[in-house]
Amino acid sequence: MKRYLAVAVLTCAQFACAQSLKLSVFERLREKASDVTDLNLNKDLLGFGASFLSKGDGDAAKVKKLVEGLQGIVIKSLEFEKEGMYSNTDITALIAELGAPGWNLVISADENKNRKGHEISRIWIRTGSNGEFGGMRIMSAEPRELSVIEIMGKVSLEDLQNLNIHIPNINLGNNGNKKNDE
Amino acid sequence: MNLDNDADLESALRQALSRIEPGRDFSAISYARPRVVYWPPSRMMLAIAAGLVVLLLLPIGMLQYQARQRRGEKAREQLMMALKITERKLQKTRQMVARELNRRNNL
Repeated sequence: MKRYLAVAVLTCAQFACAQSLKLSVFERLREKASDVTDLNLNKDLLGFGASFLSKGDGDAAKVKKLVEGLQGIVIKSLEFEKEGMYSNTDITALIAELGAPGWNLVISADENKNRKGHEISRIWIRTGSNGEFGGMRIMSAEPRELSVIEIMGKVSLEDLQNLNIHIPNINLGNNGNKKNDE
Repeated sequence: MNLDNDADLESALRQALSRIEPGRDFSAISYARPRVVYWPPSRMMLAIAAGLVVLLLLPIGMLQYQARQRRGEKAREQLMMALKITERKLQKTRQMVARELNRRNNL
């Protein structure tokens, strides 16, 4: 009986860890944003997109290798015309949601704290059941931008940082997913 | 009552209703398949039919191919955008950490 209970608890814990982000803060702030990026790429879509990479896409081979280990990427990013469009309460709510059980905070960086132009960055990682890297969450709060990234699957920070990505037809400063409802 | 006429009538009826043996090929005709007028297809007809099928299928195939290409290009753009944003945020975090470490070292 105890064994079954333990299995049930472990299963529930796994489910709790794997549950998707709600990020209601983003839904609430969406209307205030001038630019919205909302990407939700599952494993199939990542593989499909990777199969269309060409030589002009930077390190296409590296990207393809990187994508092989991924289960999905979720990105929500809001850009605002002016500062002060989100509050500390919003950040606290995001940090609480992103740092759910199973996710370990590994990097916490704050700049200009209690001053204008305050920037916050947090990175959480999750280890899988076999001790492998299971995922990563990033939260970045800048005066005019608020972003959350969730990457599920096997990925290394070094690989991500060393990608030489060129996107000639996408202007990230004013990204292509304006008020993206796709 | 005229007995002769009755006898004639009976005789006529007997003759009319008497059993007649079917002909030899009656069964063969009865069981034979109904005859269908068969129009043997010529090679030209077959070629035209095949051509029509190809003409119908080709645009469908082309449309499906183009739709797949569009979906693939969109997925590729989204993938590259996702990786670019991630890379940018990681680099920004790294820079923030590096600045903080420098600041602490200088203290």
